[in-house]
Amino acid sequence: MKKFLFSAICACAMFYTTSYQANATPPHPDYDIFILSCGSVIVDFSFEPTDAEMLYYYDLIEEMLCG
Amino acid sequence: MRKIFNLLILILLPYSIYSQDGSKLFMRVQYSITALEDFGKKQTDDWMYLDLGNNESVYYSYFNHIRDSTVQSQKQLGYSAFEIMENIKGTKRGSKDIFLFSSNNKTLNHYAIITADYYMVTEPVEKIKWITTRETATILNYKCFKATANFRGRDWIVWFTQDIPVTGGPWKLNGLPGLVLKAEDSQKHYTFECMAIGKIEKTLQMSDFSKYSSITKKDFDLLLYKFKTDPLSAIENKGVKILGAKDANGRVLDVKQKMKTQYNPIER
Repeated sequence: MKKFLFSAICACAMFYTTSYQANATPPHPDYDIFILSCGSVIVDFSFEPTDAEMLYYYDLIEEMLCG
Repeated sequence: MRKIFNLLILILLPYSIYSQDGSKLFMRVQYSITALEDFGKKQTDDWMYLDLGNNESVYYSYFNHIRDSTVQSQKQLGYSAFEIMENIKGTKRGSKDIFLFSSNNKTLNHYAIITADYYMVTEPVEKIKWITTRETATILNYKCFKATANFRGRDWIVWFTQDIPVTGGPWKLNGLPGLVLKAEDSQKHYTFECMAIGKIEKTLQMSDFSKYSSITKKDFDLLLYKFKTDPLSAIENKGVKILGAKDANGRVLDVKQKMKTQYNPIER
């Protein structure tokens, strides 16, 4: 009986943990990936860029790497 | 056709001259330009607009204007930066520089963006010592005269017409008694060629320039030089690091090599 209860509690705990992990929001990566017209680039901003800054650096990197 | 156009300008000109609103622009000159800004890369091309008014004129890139307008409208529609990147991917880029001539061509404000920072440089419009000649050429059906000058380290050859009753030219090439329709430096690193001239009715929006911070020309030139000669270090100093890059086939790109420059400035 004790064994059965222990197994049941373990199974519930595992089910809860698994379903919690599945629904959890994945952590934000430390970098951004820009898809360029000639490939892709991984960029790490040490600050939270505004949309304007993001677009500026996208343009600049595309210009430098893709010509 | 040309006569009708000139007549139209002559009729409209007095109205604009006596108008107290100096920010009205009435004529657009479109230039096709090529620039060899980097010896290690191909010449770039752009279309530039010179919008002329009585007291002000503004010179800016058509392609950048279109790209900027697209970005702004997509922002208003609520698109994220990444969605906008995807939507503008592969569209033609143009120069982000804007030149605003004001106070009857006495002052020039140069608006530029370096490492996502907005700068405004104010300088007096330099009187270029042009040498005009009797040599003529026909450009877009207008009779043009040749003029030459050394300006900011380059020998310039320009063709200007007096058939259109305005003065002005591309970039900083001003001060001739007419409108410059073609210009190139003696090494042909930078060329400007008029493609079209037309009438516009536009009001210059000064609020567009409010985000730019004033900087001296000396400081700006130093910043620009540092950025253009070593863009990778310049962006790293701003806290932006490129961790890796791949080409369209998945091959690793040498970012340091790709971002090496051999800067060939228009002013030297």
